Amino acid sequence: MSAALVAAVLVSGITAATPLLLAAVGETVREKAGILDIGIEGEMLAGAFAAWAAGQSSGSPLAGAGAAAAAGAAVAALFGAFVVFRRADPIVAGTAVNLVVLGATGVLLRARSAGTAPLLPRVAGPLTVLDLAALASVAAAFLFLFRTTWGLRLRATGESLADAAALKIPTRTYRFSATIAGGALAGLAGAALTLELSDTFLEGMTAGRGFVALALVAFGRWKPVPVAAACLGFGLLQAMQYQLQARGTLGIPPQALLMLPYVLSLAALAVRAGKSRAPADLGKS
Amino acid sequence: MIAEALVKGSPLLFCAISFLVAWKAGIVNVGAEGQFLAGALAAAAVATRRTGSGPALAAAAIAAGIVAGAAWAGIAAWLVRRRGVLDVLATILLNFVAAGLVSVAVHGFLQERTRTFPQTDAVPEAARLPVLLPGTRLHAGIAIAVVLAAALAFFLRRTKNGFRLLAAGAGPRAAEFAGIDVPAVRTFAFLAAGAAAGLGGAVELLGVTGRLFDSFSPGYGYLGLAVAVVGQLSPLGAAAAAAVFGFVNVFCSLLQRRAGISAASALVIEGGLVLAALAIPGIRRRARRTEASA
Repeated sequence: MSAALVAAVLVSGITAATPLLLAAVGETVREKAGILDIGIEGEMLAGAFAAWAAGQSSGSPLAGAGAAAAAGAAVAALFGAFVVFRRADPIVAGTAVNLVVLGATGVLLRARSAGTAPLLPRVAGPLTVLDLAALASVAAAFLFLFRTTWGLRLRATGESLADAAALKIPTRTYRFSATIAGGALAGLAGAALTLELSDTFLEGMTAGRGFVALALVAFGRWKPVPVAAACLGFGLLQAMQYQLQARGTLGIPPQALLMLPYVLSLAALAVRAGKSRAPADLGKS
Repeated sequence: MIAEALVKGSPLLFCAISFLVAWKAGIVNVGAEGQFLAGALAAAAVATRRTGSGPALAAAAIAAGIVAGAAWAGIAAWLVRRRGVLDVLATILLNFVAAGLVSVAVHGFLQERTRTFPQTDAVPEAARLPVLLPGTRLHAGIAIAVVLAAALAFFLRRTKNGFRLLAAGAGPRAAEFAGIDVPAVRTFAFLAAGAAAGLGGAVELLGVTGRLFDSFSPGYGYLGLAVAVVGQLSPLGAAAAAAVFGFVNVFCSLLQRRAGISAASALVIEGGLVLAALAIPGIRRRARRTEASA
């Protein structure tokens, strides 16, 4: 491979990893608080739609990204209201939220005129604001979780809800805030799909990327830096696959390539599920 | 219109039963979608590539669907039990792999012989499930779904093994102390869940579509979960909820034709029904995840 090709693959690897990074970092913070959010798929989809619609209406991709964060946070608030405050099962609530968002975006899409959204400008070499935000979010999540008192309390909430409550930690506040923050990041992850990787919105376009992010959080054992490394590795693999596909050197049918991310995620989990490192009270309410 | 609602509700009931069997044993199976597709794929392979008398072909296709669904769930069961993967993740990710396999099949080795569209050949007329009510699409598979729901209710309430399964879900530690082999019970529940969804896929193929194609399941697996919860996590409740969901689907399709509102509106209503069910206190408690099901 020539140096130019390596560079091209590296850059497209980071670009391809951006949605996964944003979603997975947000989910790491959430899961550290004990919230397993299956609704992440819906948050991403809502973000993708909001980014496209707001970007198209305003002509500003940054306004689109802002709308995406707000939409993701709003969907997460719906999920959090049920899971944190009504103590509903997170998997059932998450699945319901995903159905609602898939339906709502489908209805809204049909009601809107089709069109393209303005793409995010490249501010640092080939990287956009969202790429930079994704990379920054890793450092921010690490510093917050492991270097602040708030992060310590949040982790306590995820490890043992009862003990955290006994220490007078407002567990619901921590869990709900973490849910919302993760939702905003998942919304931005959706924005990366419609403002960076493509410029249009398609029904159900997230196609399970949120679930891949969930898998990578477990693979990275709930630590921001390893999780980020897993996302970047995943992005690189995808970029290499695109390059090979574009050069036509692969004899594999394109349909088989589409399921590759999910097979890889499962393989990664089978090799290193890291269940013993999971926050002890993950998914409990 | 009622017949059509039942036709639309039938795949949801199979998937709801799949979710319920696993849930009662303490497993979260969000993989009915993939198991349904695996069942349909195997049934299509048998029904369009083998020859035989109609009923024999149909029976073979249904058997293949059941086995394929159980096998697909078996992969998840292995990942959960032997590799420590979270049940939700293993089952959800396998859904996308199954959808990919269907796509590979209908674009490749199972594509119709004329190679025109990405779909399989049509299942021979003689191997299709009989229509119960002339003039409608009400097929015999719907009766299978209802019987299966009743059988599950009987199994859970009236049999020793049903009790073991409930015990493994409600209190795995107490069940262990009582001499119940909880991992074995859970593996059985996982396979049974896959078999139910796989049967659903075969029935949908032989009773409704007659062919396999890319979007064969528009999320039946996830909607099955919704049906199970709205049916208050009881098999017979799920049967009633499946009929309601079927009606919503028919209604929203009508809305799309008459008013131009996307039929995706059905998903908003159905997801909303689940959230409503979760908001009602009594149901909320029953819907809570059982201890140590991960």
